[in-house]
Amino acid sequence: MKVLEQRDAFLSDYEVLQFLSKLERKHKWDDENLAKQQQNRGKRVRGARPYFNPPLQCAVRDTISYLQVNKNYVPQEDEDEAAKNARMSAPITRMNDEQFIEFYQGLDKYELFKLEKLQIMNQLPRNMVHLYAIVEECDSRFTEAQIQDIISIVERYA
Amino acid sequence: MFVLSKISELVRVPPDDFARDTSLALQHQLNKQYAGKVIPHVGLCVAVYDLLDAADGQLMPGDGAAYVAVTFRALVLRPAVGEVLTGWITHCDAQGIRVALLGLFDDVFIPARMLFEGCRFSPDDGAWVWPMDEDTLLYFDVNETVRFRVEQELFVEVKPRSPAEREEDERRQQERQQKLLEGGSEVEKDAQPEKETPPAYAILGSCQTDGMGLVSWWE
Repeated sequence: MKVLEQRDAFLSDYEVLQFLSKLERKHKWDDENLAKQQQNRGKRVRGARPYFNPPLQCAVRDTISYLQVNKNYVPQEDEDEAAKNARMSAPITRMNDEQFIEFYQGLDKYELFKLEKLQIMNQLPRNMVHLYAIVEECDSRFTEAQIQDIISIVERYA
Repeated sequence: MFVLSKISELVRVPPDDFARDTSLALQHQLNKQYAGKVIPHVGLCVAVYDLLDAADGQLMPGDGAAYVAVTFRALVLRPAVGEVLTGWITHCDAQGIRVALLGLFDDVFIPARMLFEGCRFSPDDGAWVWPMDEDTLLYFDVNETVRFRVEQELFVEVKPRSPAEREEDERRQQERQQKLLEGGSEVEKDAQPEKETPPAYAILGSCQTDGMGLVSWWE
C-alpha cells in the first residue's frame, strides 16, 4: 500500500450520504430489500442475492446512521412523537441535488474558507454562537447583517 | 470531515473471482481489505469510492491468483484539526470525557485540561461540572450530545497479537466460562481488568470556547 495523496478531495456530508445510500441500494442492503429477504427466508428465490461483505456493510450502515441524525436537535418537553421524529432526522436527508447546489452557490458570495464553508454545509448552524465557533474571527470579517444573512440562507435549506 | 484519499495497492485476485467483472472483483478485494479499518496517518476508511487505474494482472510463481496494481480513491473519515464536531458522551472519569460519533467512531477523548476553565469532576454524579457563573452548574452527562473542537489526532501502530498473548486470552476466557458453569455470580468482581490496547486512531478534542459543550446549552 502506498498513499499517493491524503486529501485528494473533500466531501460534504450530503455527498457522502448520497454515495453510501446508492451503494446500499446497489448491494441490496437497504431496508426495503432487507424486509423482502426476511419474508422470503428459507424459500428458494430467483434473482440476485445481496452482496456478501460484512465489514463493508457494517461500515456503511454505521456511517449512514451517523449522518442521518440531526446533531442540532435538543429534546423539547411538549412534543408529540411525529414532530420529534421529524426533528430528529438531519436536514440533509430531505435535501435534493438542486437544493444542495443552490445552497452551495448561496454561500459563494461570502469570503469563507473552504473548510469553513464545508462545515457550515455539514452542520447547518442556526444560531450565532454556533456560526462563530465554525468561522474564525467572524465578527471582524463579517458585518452583523452579513452574519444574519448567512444564518437565513442556512435556515432556508435546513 | 470526509475526504477522498488516493492510494495505490497491489491487489491479489483469487482464481474464483476471475469470472466476475474485473472492476467489481478488484473493488470486492479492496473493500474486504479496507472497509471499516484505520489506515495509518490517513484516517478511518469507510468504503472504496472509485477505481482510477488498474494495470494488467501479473502472475507469481506458485500462485494461481492474479496480482493487479490498482490506484483507487477511498472514502475516509478524517476530521481536520480545528474542525468542530458533534458526538455523544459515552463515559466520564477524572481524566476527562470519552465521546463517540454514534457507532461510526468511538475513540474521541477530551482530557480534563482541555475543558472549560473551572471544570471539575463530580464523582457522586459521575459527570463533569462546569460552573458557568455563581449559581449555574452545567453538567456533562453521559449520552448527551456534545460539540467539541478537534485539537490533535493520534495514530498508533497497533501490532497484531503475538501467539503468547493469544494463548493468554484463550486461557482467560476458559477460566471465565469455567466459573460461569460453577454458578459464580461474583465472576465480575475478581475478574482481572483486561489490558486495554490503545486505539489505532484517536482524536483529542477540546471544549474551551463559546459554542462548545452540550448542544442544548447554546440552542
